[in-house]
Amino acid sequence: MDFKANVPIYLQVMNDIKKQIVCRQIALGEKLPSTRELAVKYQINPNTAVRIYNEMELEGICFTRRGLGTFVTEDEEKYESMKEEITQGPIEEFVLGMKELGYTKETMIRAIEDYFERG
Amino acid sequence: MLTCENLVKKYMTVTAVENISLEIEPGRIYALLGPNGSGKTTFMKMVAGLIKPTSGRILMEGSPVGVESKKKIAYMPTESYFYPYMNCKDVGLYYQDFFEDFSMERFYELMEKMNLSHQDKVSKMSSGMMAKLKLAVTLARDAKLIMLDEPLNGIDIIAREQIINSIILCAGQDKAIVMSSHLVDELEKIIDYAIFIKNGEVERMGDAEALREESGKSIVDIYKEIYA
Amino acid sequence: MLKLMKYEYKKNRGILLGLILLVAGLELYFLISNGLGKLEHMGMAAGFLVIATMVCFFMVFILGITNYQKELNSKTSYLIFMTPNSSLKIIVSKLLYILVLGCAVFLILGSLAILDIKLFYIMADEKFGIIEIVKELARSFGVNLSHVWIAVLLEVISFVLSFFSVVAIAYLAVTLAATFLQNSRWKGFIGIVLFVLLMVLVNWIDNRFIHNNMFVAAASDDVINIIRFMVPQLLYNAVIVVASVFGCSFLLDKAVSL
Repeated sequence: MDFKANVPIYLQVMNDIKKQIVCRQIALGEKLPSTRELAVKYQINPNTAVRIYNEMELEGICFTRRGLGTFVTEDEEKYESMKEEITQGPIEEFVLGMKELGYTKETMIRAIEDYFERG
Repeated sequence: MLTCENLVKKYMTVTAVENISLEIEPGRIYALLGPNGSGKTTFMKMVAGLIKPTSGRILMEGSPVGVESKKKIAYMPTESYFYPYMNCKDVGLYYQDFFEDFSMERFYELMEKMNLSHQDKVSKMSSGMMAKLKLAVTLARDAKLIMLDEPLNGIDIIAREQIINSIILCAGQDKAIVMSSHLVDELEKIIDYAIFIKNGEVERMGDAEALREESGKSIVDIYKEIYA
Repeated sequence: MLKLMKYEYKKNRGILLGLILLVAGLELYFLISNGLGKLEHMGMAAGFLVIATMVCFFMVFILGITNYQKELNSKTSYLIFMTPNSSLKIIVSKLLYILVLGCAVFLILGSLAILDIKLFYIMADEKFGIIEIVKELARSFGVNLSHVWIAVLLEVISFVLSFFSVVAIAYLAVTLAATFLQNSRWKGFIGIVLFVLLMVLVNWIDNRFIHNNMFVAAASDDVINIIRFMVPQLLYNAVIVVASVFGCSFLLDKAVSL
């Protein structure tokens, strides 16, 4: 994962984990790495790792069982709202970028169709 | 945990530390940043008890630098400081003899991760191996305050990740790690708190995330700004 | 304390081994010549052994001091001074190591001397017993063994203390030089100058206020007299050692930056 300078580290890692859940790389209900393992994996500060899980727990994405670890939620609804939230980013980026280039809603849709036709 | 008040160190021709006051809290990883000669090493050696301040106070958990503070503080100097007759195992045995918080097991583990063998002689080591040995023996101590002076110096790029992992795994809620470095980008992600030293004084310091947010820049960029 | 002394020894292992081999070699030379009845070679070997003995004692003194001086000048001092040992303990451990080393050298060389002299006498058909030989050897050190045991004890202690007072002063000189001349090239030279100055001062005080009546004491048979004459000198040397040790410790704690 490449780190950006202007976004807090914990947010970047959280988004990466959310992405992995949405892509089903991490299954619902799966056990997440311990905070230490997370810190080593992303080469981040252990306190940041703790904060990440805390924030994710507040958002309802995961829950912690004392002594057992942190697990991804099994709530399908939560999954759908995460998916929606995550996809917002790329969609917004695309739309804003195309707007800058002078595209309208209709021409944007046409451009997407053309892209897929070309293969 | 560690309180430094108005530390000054003057030599005959130069002032290494003009005036440093700061506090180190447990559970955090600190970066002491600044170019060579800014006073970082002098500061660390004063805390370790190797250099005596010209004026000012250092208190470790309430008591001044001395026998008690040395039990809780582990300092890794930039220099090579082992007796030439020693090999890696001898170094471990020495630390075991004098430091209660030293774990021989951990030392062996760290040595293995860093590809050091017990018989490697100090006098015949490359600078890279020496750098790793110093780290291994310092991190094998369960000290309350761990000070690493340029821990990534002389370490090849591949081993650096290993070192950073070891540092991450070493961190804990009851201890503080202070690292001095001019290799800022490697440390950017793992530090909690940054202290910028310029001309022997604290130029700027704060929570790493807060500093990034308020200036919209990375620690690396802030560094360039301060020392340009 | 013992651990610190252990590491003092480990630092010197090479040189000590060299000295042991030298003495062993010379002794072997002596014994072989003795076995072969070659008096001339025995004499040569004995001569070399005497020189070797002086070298050994000299080395104990020199090693003790150069070890300390070299350490304060190099980064290996970090190893000792980062450990949770008070500087007092560190200095005392070094001095104790010198004491133990000195005793070891004394015992080994002393036994060899007694053995060799006895062998000489056997060759010369003289029937001097071991006791006589020991007494003669002791006399050459200023210790009269015909005295009452208290006197003998005092004489031995006196000898050791005067040796250590010189060592302690040397340590103080080294520490003072390290305090004020941190990275200077002149550190070694100034250290020696300081040592000489301190020795002159100490001897001046000695001659002026403390009467050195060692010879009177040695000659006298009255225990009370002996004690009366020896004690002031003893106390004076003891004070020098203690003052120097505490002086070094204070400097190391407050003033010396490594």
